[in-house]
Amino acid sequence: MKKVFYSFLTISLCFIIACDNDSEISQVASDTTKRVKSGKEAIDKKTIKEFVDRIPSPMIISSIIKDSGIDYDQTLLNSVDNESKYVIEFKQALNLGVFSTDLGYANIYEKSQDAINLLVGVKDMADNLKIGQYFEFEKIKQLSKSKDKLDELLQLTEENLININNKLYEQDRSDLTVLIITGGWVEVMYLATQVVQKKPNKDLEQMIADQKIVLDQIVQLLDYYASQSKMRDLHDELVDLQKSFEKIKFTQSEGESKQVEKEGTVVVEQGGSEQAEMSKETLNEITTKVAAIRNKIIS
Amino acid sequence: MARFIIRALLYLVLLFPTKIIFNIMKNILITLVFAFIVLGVGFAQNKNTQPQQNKTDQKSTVQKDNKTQQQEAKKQEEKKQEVKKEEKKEVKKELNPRIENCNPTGYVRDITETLKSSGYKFLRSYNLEGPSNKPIQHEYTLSKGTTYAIRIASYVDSNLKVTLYDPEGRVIASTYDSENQKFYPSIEILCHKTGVYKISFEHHFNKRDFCGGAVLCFKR
Repeated sequence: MKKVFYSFLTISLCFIIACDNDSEISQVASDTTKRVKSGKEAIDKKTIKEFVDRIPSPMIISSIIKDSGIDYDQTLLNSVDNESKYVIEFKQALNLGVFSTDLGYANIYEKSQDAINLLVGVKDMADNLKIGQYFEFEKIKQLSKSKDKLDELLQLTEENLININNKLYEQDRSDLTVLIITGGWVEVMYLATQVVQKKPNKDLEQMIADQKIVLDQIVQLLDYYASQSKMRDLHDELVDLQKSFEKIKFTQSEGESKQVEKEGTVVVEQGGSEQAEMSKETLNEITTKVAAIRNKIIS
Repeated sequence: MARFIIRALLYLVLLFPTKIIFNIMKNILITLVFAFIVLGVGFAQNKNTQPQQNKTDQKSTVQKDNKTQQQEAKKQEEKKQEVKKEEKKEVKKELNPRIENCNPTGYVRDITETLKSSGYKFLRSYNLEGPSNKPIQHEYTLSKGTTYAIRIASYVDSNLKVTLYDPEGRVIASTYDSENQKFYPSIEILCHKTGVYKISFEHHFNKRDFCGGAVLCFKR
């Protein structure tokens, strides 16, 4: 009797497990089919962090703007007065990215008062998102006041933002990380395109054209969250911007890289290069689209 | 003593007739033979019936004995395995000793202090800690026209190697010079092609834990 009972129990368990696996398999299969149909590189939760880590800091473009000899323009920055408009997490995360980029821009130009004002915006957005504790507000504020500590200031700001992204990832809130990055990238593209319209600069134009790679990465990240309506709208706007970037012609030349030793450092002489050809019309189109996206974000 | 025995026998012969003595001896022999037969059968029966009794009457006790024996055998095997594992662990420890209280941020701080004098700006830091059974890898989008540097710091005999891969996955630089068997603390690259580059950190010779830091920085 006991044997019969155990046999029945085992068979039932096997049946239940098999049914459960079937449902999981069908779920994965449907997801895969969706991705294959959409024809995009698959991003899953595990690879989001890797994708986020690849995105370059807006600081580089801010540095190029300064190195181009273009004057600081406060009117280009988002006003901290706007922060009362940002009541939902979607807007708060995007504008945390916007204020962070503006803060970096102000810091590079050593505009300490603007930097401190922007720092308030960053802190408020971070507090609203319940990640303010990871932002060393007082320390950054002190560093902003002393001009000889710019390197420390940039490092601390950058490290704090990386820390925030890591914490959000740990809290399973990577959608906010993607929004912070998107907001920051759109803002620095806004600064670069506005500046280059006022004072044409080849280096800056090349940098804008090269942002196609970064835009592609951000679109892929947003695509993962396309089931959320607001994320999908933002995704679609950036997909439209991608169409303008596709008009840029990239010509590549091949060559072998080699490394030499100079003063105790390995110096790479990279072989081959890539040149971007962007027409004035394309630049104007990109400028207009970026401004429209950015104004929607900050409004 | 011999004399005493001989005397005793003589007295017996003299006192009792030989027929009586013969009968006594005969009875003694018969009783001895009977006793031997009885004892022999009993011994044989004991030998044959005991396992059967164990099988039938003491079945439960035998099972218990078997179980305990099996358990003991299992325990012994487990002990052996544990010993083997510990031995393996010890071997691993020797090959890959742990570095306790590693402080990667200290290494990162040391590197960033050197940036200002060289005109580089901080971009990203990488904490290098944990087991070194596989390389620590990171990716970053480098932009054309910008000079980047990857600087590393680790414990003295770490032989930490950095390898840089271009967007096509080709190795374009390594901090280990195989010809001169020398390690360098940094890589510099003036980027000619915007794309995603891979930075890989690994120990070249030893397999000790990672304990160090790296900084990616840039200048225009």
